[in-house]
Amino acid sequence: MKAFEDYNPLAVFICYAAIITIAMFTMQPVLLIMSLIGSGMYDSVRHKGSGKIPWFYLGVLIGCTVINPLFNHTGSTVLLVLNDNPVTLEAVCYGLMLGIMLVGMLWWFHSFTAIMTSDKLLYIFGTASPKLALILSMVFRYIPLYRRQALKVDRAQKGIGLYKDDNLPDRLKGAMRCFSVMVTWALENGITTADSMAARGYGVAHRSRFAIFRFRKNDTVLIAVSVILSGITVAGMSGGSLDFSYYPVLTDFSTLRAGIPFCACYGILCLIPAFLEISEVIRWKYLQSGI
Amino acid sequence: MNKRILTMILSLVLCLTLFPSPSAAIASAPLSFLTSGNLSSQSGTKTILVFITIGLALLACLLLLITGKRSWKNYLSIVVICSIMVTGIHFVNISSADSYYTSAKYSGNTISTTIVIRCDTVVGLADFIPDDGCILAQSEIEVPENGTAYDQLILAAKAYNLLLDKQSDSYIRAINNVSELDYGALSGWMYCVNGEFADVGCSEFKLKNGDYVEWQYTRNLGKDISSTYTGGSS
Repeated sequence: MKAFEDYNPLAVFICYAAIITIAMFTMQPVLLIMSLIGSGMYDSVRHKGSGKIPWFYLGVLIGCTVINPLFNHTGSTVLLVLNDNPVTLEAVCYGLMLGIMLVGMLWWFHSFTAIMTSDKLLYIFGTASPKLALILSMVFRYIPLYRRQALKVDRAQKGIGLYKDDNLPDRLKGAMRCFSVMVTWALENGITTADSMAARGYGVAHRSRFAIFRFRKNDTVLIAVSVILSGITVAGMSGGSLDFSYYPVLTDFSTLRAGIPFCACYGILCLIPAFLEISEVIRWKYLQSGI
Repeated sequence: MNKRILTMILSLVLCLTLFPSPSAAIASAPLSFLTSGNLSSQSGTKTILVFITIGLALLACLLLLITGKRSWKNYLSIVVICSIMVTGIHFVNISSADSYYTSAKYSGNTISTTIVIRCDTVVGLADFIPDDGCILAQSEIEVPENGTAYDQLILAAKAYNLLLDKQSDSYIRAINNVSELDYGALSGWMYCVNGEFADVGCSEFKLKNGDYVEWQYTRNLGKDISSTYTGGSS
């Protein structure tokens, strides 16, 4: 047994792709809640449950729930009327589910970017096209690079006393200045990178690649399990037992019963990463206690 | 320095608390014939909302005072945000579904008009569409003098529990969930008065006594519908 991120990148990628694709193309509430639970559990296990309240994600959830009914007036149960515009229960439910989907998605991608380092992406996409893999890994490199540089600029600005940190308007002004500095730096950095690559002979000869990952029996099992489980769920979706419509009337909740086996399959799929991670933690604790 | 500014801001906030009730009445005055039934409860909810907003602002000020971030710019931004919210509240009319759909009739000079809403072109395409294509059968609506086709539709929606989805005040996107663009790229709601399709938005069209307004759903820019107006009194 290994932790989820120690599996072969291809297996991890297929597992993620299966989970995320299904969660992106459905609005069935049970599936979305499964995806939210799975992603939340895995993310919190990886970060050792820091115990902080996820304000940003709560904001996304509440924002979606509030904003959707303000702009979408379809539905049949009117809760309120704002300036002659009806606010309907159906639109609120849809907004809530949209929020759950978004938060689940953000959490999946949060853990995805944390464990899929650029060498792993290079390994996966390198077979198809080493050039594409190089570009992808460079693109992914830019995010942490910019973050570090922004921090440097921020500290430099503070160091020369350009803004005080104790009030909102000054902080906003300072952030704007940092942003403009960052844009200039990014343009310059792009040119420097291109020059540097040209100087090192990029594009002169055929590119090859090297990867250090091995394909073990466990990886085959993980790929097989995720393909089978997602296949069953997709079959359920195309069979119509996972259909759920919000407008103009919410689908009767008793029809959700037909989709229970498929939802269970998807739930297991979503819990695989968290399960592997937790079992690894338990095993580690057990081994430590034996010393 | 800090204390002086703080007291200044506090007095400003106090002033804000004092003027919500008259300004709420002014804000809803142009719409008064549409909301006449529940004007008093309207300004009641608004005052409560304004008080909540200002209470939150005061709480934020207190937090800043306690945590030691006592720059005057912080207080200023709180006051700006608070006043933007208070102004926003004045422009929003909130009413519960029950009071909206039973709101009283207009008591001033009215003209009598007729409205009918039909969607014959999409009958049988979804289970929420009525089988006879008739969303609202021919009904008499009392519209205030100089009322427009838009006012008439709003009053009809209130009287007969219709669900309107509109873009600004002149374009009707959906009536009872039968929405534009749902049945083809050229589909949507059109209205005709006394058998003639008008060439202005419904909030521009002034109604006369005895006008017969027909709302019809088209799937092809009006080429598949024609008026059923038979002329005059029926």
